[in-house]
Amino acid sequence: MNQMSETKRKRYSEAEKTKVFDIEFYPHIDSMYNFAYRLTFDEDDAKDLVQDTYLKAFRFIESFQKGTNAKAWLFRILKNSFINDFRKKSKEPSKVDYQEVESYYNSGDVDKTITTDLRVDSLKDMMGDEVTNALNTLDVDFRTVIILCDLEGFKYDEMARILDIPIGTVRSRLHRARNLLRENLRVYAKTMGYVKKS
Amino acid sequence: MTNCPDEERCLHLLEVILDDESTPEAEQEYFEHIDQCWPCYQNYNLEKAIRKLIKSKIENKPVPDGLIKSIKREIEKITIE
Repeated sequence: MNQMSETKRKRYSEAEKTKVFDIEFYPHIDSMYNFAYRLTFDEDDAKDLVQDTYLKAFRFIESFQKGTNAKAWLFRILKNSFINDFRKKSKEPSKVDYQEVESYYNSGDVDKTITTDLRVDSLKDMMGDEVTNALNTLDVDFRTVIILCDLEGFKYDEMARILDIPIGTVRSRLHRARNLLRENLRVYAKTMGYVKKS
Repeated sequence: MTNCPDEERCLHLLEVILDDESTPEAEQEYFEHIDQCWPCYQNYNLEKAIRKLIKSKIENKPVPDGLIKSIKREIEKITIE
């Protein structure tokens, strides 16, 4: 075994492992399950993905430093499992290239902030599942940044580590994702008659 | 109503401030600005309200019963191996 990593990494006894899981890992299961569900849209797949994530966390626990951000560490494993193991097996269309998606969206009006087009009143009338649908129809990469930032409260630097992308990309992707979500909500609001057609 | 001449920059600042990723100086500058700029003041309130609503409307699924138990069982298997 690599001596250098030996000195840096903490060795956990079985009792310590159990303690880390009980105190630092399991309390995040609710967020993990919902993240997994919002990636897979399937309850069984989400369950498998979460279970797989925790098993990997157990195997690689030596690389986790106690007291550091356990939630971000677990989310990173889950995201990687989804991309590497899960997406390959799933029936979803194959992954769209990030750069392609970003340059496509970059070309249009999507960078312009559109908050002023969406009214709070129309959002208030919407049902939860309509707002959820508006999120779910976003491309998975845009959906992910919204989940991480707006629902789970991760900071830009944590998101950069979870997603393996530079902070600048986190910011621009988040900005576009929010605009696209607001656009979806605006369209929803219009079709459902929550706002008067202009 | 006239728009803010610096609207794009203000909207960008607003996003960073609401994400709690701004500097105290930028925040001070922004809040001093919205005290005098009605469109930006409105944008601030609107964006804050939209974020709050989105967060409250998106429903969480309950974690299936027994998931932690089943993870613990699988971990036990690895430990025995």
